[in-house]
Amino acid sequence: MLVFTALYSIAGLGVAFLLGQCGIVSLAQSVFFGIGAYSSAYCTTHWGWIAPTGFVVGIVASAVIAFAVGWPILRLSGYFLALATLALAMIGQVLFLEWDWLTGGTLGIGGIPKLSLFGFELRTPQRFYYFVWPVAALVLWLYANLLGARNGFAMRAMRDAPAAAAVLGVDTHVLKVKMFVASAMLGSLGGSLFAHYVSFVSVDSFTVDRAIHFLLIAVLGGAKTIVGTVLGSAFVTVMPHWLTGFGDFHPLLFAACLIAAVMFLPDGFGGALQRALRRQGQA
Amino acid sequence: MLRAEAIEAGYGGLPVLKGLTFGIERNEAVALIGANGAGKSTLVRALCGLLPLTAGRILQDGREIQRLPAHQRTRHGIAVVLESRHLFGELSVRHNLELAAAHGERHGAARRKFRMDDVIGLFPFLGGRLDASVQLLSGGEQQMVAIARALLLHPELLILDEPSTGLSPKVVREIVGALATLRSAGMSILLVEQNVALAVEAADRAYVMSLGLIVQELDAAAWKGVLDDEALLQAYLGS
Repeated sequence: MLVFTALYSIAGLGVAFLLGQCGIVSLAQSVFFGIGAYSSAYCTTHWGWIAPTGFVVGIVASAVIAFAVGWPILRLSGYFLALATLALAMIGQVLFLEWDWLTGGTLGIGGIPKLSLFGFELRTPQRFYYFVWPVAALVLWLYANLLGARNGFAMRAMRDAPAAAAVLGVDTHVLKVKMFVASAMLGSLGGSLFAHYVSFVSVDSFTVDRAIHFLLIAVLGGAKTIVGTVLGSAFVTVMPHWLTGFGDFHPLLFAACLIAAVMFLPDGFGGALQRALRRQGQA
Repeated sequence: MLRAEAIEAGYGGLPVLKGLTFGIERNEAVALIGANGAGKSTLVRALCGLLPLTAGRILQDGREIQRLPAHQRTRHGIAVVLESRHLFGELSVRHNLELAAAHGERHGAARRKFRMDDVIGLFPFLGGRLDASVQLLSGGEQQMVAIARALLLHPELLILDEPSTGLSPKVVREIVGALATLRSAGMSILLVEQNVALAVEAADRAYVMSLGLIVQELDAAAWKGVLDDEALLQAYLGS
């Protein structure tokens, strides 16, 4: 569970910073997560390349596709943009299924080798855990640095007052495209790690449901906080698993939890935590 | 330095600016006055590139700029303080200003440069509030941050849209004083205002706008006596 929490935190962070810092609702992350996973799977099993090449191929492919698709669709805003990204997720799901020469279709691709570091194979969940959490921490740290840099201020300026950002010289369209590309690269990194961890990928892992899963991480966690992404990821990973103890009612209970979380914590777990810490500091 | 020729623009197919022509020369301050709904803010949005024209052209020093997006017009020396100020609420005063300064760095090497010290000199309160959240400032202080932010783009032409709205007379006086300082430093100013008394103090001449058109051009002499022109004030400003 903790390994998946880290994997989904990495990919979910891409959605969270688009939502929290740029005001963009993206439902396309499942596509980039899939591209990363299939790139790693294909490069290592079909061509026998070493694992890092799969990461690089996935990240580059995701960046190129995000740029090509993002450039036109990021002229849209609000619901229209969200729908455009949903369409991308749906197209991705169909292509992952239909391009079976590349993805294995419903049969998927199995036998993906475990990652190894300096000859030390990460073949157990414990070993992978000690690898993936530092990677997630590094990504979160880089994100924290971005927020304190000029592009971070420009993102928040664009979100809070897009007209004022534009007249200050911020090229809001280019900034959105850059961030969409960065988000896609994070999705791909998460996907590649996922493929090497589970050793088998199929279209079932990259459906529109997965896109909604990433959006839930951002919304429930609180898209404006860094720690929120991790908390959101932990919630959507652990809670459904924990609720399976309630038998057939577990989807219903999970839905009730989601509704309660959105109603009572409108700025997410991260926002609630931040408020609580602030109150404690004032007391 | 800036001339709009027969410009038309609007929202969702509804025309607001209906073939409007006006101009501002280098080193002059011009007021644009008109009642609510005259199209003043629409004109500001069209001039700074936030609203595309459906007809006409905008010339800056003879060069057409109407196709340039907003962020590029800034590079060409046009800075705007939008109505309602549009500050970045989650950022501090310092970060609001630094964001502008960072973009201003890349603009016109030949233009007069405004540094942080210059804007603090113009609005001394800024010096003590740099790390405050802009949300905690009064309306007048926010307006000064908005003007300071625009100045850090090193503009040749500063466009202000209703800078006195909702401000106390004392703050308005401070802003008029700052505009006078900028004028004496050679900056061109386009002041869009409903407050005619303020506009008379700050501008050399004026245009009167009504229903998307310039209906009257007031030269310096006519402009200085405008407050006594009951007929004009009643006809176009409803006051």
